[in-house]
Amino acid sequence: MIKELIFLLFAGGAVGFALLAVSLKNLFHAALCLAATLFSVAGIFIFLGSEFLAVIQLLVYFGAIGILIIFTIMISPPALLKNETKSVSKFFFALAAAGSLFFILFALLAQSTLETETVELGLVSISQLGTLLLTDFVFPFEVIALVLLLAIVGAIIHAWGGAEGHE
Amino acid sequence: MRGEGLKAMSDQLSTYLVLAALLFSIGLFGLLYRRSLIGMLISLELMLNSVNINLVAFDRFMTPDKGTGQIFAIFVIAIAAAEAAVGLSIILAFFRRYKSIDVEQPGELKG
Repeated sequence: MIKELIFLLFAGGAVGFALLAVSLKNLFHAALCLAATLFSVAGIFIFLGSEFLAVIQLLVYFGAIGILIIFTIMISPPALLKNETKSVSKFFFALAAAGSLFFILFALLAQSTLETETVELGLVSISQLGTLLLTDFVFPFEVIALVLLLAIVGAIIHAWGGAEGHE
Repeated sequence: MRGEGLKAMSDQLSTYLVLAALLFSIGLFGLLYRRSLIGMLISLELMLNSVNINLVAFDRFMTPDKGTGQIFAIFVIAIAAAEAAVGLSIILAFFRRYKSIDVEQPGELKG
């Protein structure tokens, strides 16, 4: 019973803060709401029995990406935070697209008959994940390391290069 | 999912799928509605995160002893981190060039 309540808290928090994150006018507040959503999703991962991913979610998403977005807003000139001009037609177009996507997904889920099996929580241990990463998935693992390196170098060059170049 | 009414809510695959679908739709709404690049990036992170919920939920309920879904989720998180770093640096360069992060400002490529 308590477990269900906590689950509802995390799920409701994720959805509520996600709604705030896409609708708030102030980008800084939206970034904070995104961080709250990411935190709630980490809680959802705990319920799914993957503690490792929950910790990764907190470290990488909640910590790194949240801080990165907030720092970008904070080190930028105030004009970056200038309120966006909103158009009503765009709002209804976006609402129709997102609403119909959710309706289609929900209708598909409602009539699917997937056989599910549940085992005791915590069966996939961290050492199992590590073994998988270094045996079956060793090639994507190495590729992702290269991608991350290139992305970081590219990000530094992009953010730095223009500083003295243009103006 | 039929025949699962007796199980607790947090023990059903469909709960997580509906939650992920909801988050994905919210992210899509934000991506279409927002006009500032940072707002769009925030929505994109939401969408990637909902996909992660799906991957882990299927890993938990369909192939509970494999862990493949969790590995994929780790890859998605890594790509999302790279995407956020590159995206934000592009936004900074974009802002220096156009003095705004409104996506409808630059019209140079319209031809």
